[in-house]
Amino acid sequence: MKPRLNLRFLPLLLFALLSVLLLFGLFSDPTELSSARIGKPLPAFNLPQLAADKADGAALVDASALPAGPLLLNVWATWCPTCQAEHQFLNQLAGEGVAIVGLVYKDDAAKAQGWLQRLGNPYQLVLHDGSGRYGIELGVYGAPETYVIDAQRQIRYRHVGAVTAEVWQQSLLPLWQQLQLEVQP
Amino acid sequence: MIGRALLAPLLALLLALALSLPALAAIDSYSFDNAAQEQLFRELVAELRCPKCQNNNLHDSDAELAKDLRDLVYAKVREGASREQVIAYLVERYGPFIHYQPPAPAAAMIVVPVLLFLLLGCGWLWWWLKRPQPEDEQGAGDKP
Repeated sequence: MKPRLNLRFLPLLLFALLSVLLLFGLFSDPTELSSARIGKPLPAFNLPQLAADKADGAALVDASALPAGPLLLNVWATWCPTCQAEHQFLNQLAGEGVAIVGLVYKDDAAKAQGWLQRLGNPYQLVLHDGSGRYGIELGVYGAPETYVIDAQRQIRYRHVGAVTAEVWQQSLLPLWQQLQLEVQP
Repeated sequence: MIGRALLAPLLALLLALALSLPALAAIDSYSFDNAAQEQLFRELVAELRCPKCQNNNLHDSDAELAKDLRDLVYAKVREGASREQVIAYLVERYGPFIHYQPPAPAAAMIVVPVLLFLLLGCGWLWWWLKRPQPEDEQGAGDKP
């Protein structure tokens, strides 16, 4: 008797495979794009620092003004409700010693100043990109976005949306700890 | 019943209005040195995707970012950048996703052998199930 291929469970198998495929599709967010800038150097900039008085007179700074070592580059704006939602957690991170640099994206300097006075300032340096031109260099497509920059000024990761305690624990903290180790081998 | 009869043309009218709305979001007052530049600009904003609202191209999108990118494409075209240069500039920043027709669909070509395989497999399966059952078969339950 020749061995027979048992096809009884083939439809079930196909169904299971399809289910797995669709399950992945269910939990993937098509609006979340991976950054084209991962692994690339942070694009050069020459941006005004968000100054206490006026934006025009503020001195332009470049990458040499960034704090040494790994840092988070947080893109935010006062017109962005999600930015407000994440702000308290950024304050907390800054309190824990995480270096955060802010990039005010397509927003008014005075409004941004008022926001920081009201909600606290977690940033070691705040850059002002009023036109959004530097945002295009980074590939920003909405606020908030948070980039992880290593000590060599390479972009290592981008998170789109609010940085919450959960996001920090699950995706940012492991990379952050790794970057700390890279600095002090 | 009259309401019912009116419903179809009314819906068609609404649909036509809805579809014509993006066309009203006309190209802002961009002026060009020559027709070739204008043509290139129109082509580019039609085939580049707005990263913010992903089902719109740069021309149709009302997003702030789309306007910024339109201005950028305009500036590049005025500077004499070629079609490929503008696309490469944006792909470098936003990834191949920004282009509605990514230039190298090599990876997507896997669809062809997979579909062929599935079609042949279905054909084979059909033939296999429909073939006359051998007389000495014991497993067939529907035979007396």
